[in-house]
Amino acid sequence: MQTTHEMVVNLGPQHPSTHGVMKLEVVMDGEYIVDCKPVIGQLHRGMEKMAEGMLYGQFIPITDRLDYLSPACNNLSYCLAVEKLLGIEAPERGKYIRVIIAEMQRIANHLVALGSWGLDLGAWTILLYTFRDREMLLDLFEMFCGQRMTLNCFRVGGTTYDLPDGFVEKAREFLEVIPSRINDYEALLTKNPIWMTRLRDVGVVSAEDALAYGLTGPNLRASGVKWDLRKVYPYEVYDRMQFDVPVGSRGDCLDRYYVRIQEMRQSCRIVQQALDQLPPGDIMVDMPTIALPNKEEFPNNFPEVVRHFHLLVQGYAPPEGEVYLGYENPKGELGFYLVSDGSGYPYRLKIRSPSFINMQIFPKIMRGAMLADVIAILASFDPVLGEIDR
Amino acid sequence: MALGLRDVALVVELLRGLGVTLRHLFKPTVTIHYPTERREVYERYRGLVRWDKEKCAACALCARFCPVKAITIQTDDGEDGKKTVKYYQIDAAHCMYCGLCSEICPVGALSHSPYHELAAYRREDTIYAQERLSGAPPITMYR
Ligand code: SF4
Ligand code: SF4
Repeated sequence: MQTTHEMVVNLGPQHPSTHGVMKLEVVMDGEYIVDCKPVIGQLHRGMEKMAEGMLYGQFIPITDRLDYLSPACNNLSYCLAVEKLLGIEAPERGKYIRVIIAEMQRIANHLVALGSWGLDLGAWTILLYTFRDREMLLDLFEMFCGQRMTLNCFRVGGTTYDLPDGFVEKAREFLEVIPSRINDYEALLTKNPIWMTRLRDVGVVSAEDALAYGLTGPNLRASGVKWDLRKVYPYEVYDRMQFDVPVGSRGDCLDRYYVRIQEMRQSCRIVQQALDQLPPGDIMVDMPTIALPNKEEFPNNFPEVVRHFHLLVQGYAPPEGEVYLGYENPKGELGFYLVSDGSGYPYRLKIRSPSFINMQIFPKIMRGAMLADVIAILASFDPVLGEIDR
Repeated sequence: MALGLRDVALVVELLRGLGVTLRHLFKPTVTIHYPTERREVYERYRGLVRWDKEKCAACALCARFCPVKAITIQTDDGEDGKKTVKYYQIDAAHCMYCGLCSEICPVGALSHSPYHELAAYRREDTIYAQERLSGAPPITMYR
């Protein structure tokens, strides 16, 4: 008698569709998935431990490497957590600049998510278009802070760089073209029957499951839960911005796709409003214990030199205590839990990274799916391995 | 085989998608032919770190603050009791171009240059020390 038996297939770690170095151990019965186990850790860099040996300000460039597709959001999240610990707030203009850059970063992140998702499912064209449009954003970032990917542009208490001349005009140019570009993506994907068939009713996550597994960000909203930290606990200047929180209804891959498309449009709205409201003024807090002194005064102002060295060798010492701050990263809630023992170094830093927690649900929703759907589901969660393994 | 309504709808939608690609065919190209054409970087671009020996005050703050410790500095006491730099090097393979060192250097001895094509055959060539730290980096076959 002929029998069938289950087979274990290793997807990854070096697989083009796993968005980094992740391994999915898939147990298959024919074409169907019986069990799926994500194996992570190949990209582990020990960031949380690294933070304990660094001054608060030194860790900012390291946060760029968490979710390397949205570094500005990581910077902002970390800076906000330290600011909360110190009990300070950035000045108005600083806040607006941060919101502008972070929302642009959200668009850039969703563009990559969309492009690589299309690529995984065999739609090459969309990748080229999204990357072309992301290039405009990267140019803006380069203009703003000098780097395209790992921005390191925010500091505790404000930003280092003011918006350069011509930035606002260029940003407005971008805002003018992007809505029609998003329409193009929709013409290519939303109305494409192949794309729809591949995504509809695939990888369905119910609202209860989404909450039970701790999903956050677009993945949670696609399941119909209206939870956006920018609305629920507004930080920076989000309470002054008009924007909607797009939600899905079915919780399948198609909803996760559509929520992201909508979020890009909403982010455009936020950037537009922030550019309109952008006030003049300082970009860094005026606090001698936190902000670096102005270097031009150094030749004839020795106490300022001493303060400069003190700030960079000892750092600023937040009061003893602990703080958790969740931030709406493009991928979900990025949280930093900081414990301070009153010295210049964090006693403990714990990073709640959204991709890591979103990934918990994989074994549950992959069961019963076809192998080809695994790729679609994986891409629909938009995981980034830099963040999963930290 | 008769074509159903569904198939017609399918073809229409696919044609609409192809229409988008067709429209893009007649738009100006956005890519550049890299080795022969190059784009200018912006003014604030954070490329290879350059060090000005004349300006440096040998305070070693940069080496201390660099998050990845890409900077090595050895100081010496000069004749008039002032500190001088004996040896200074930046490991470009370690450096992540974060811009912190040039931001904190109290005398502005460190700056970012627009050079970013720094591939080298040997790992030693990625270490920029002493006199290689100012001016343009040596031209390799990649630049
Ligand atoms: S911080 Fe500036 S002055 Fe001090 S050692 Fe470094 S380069 Fe020289
Ligand atoms: S740019 Fe950053 S990583 Fe590179 S030498 Fe300066 S501080 Fe170190």
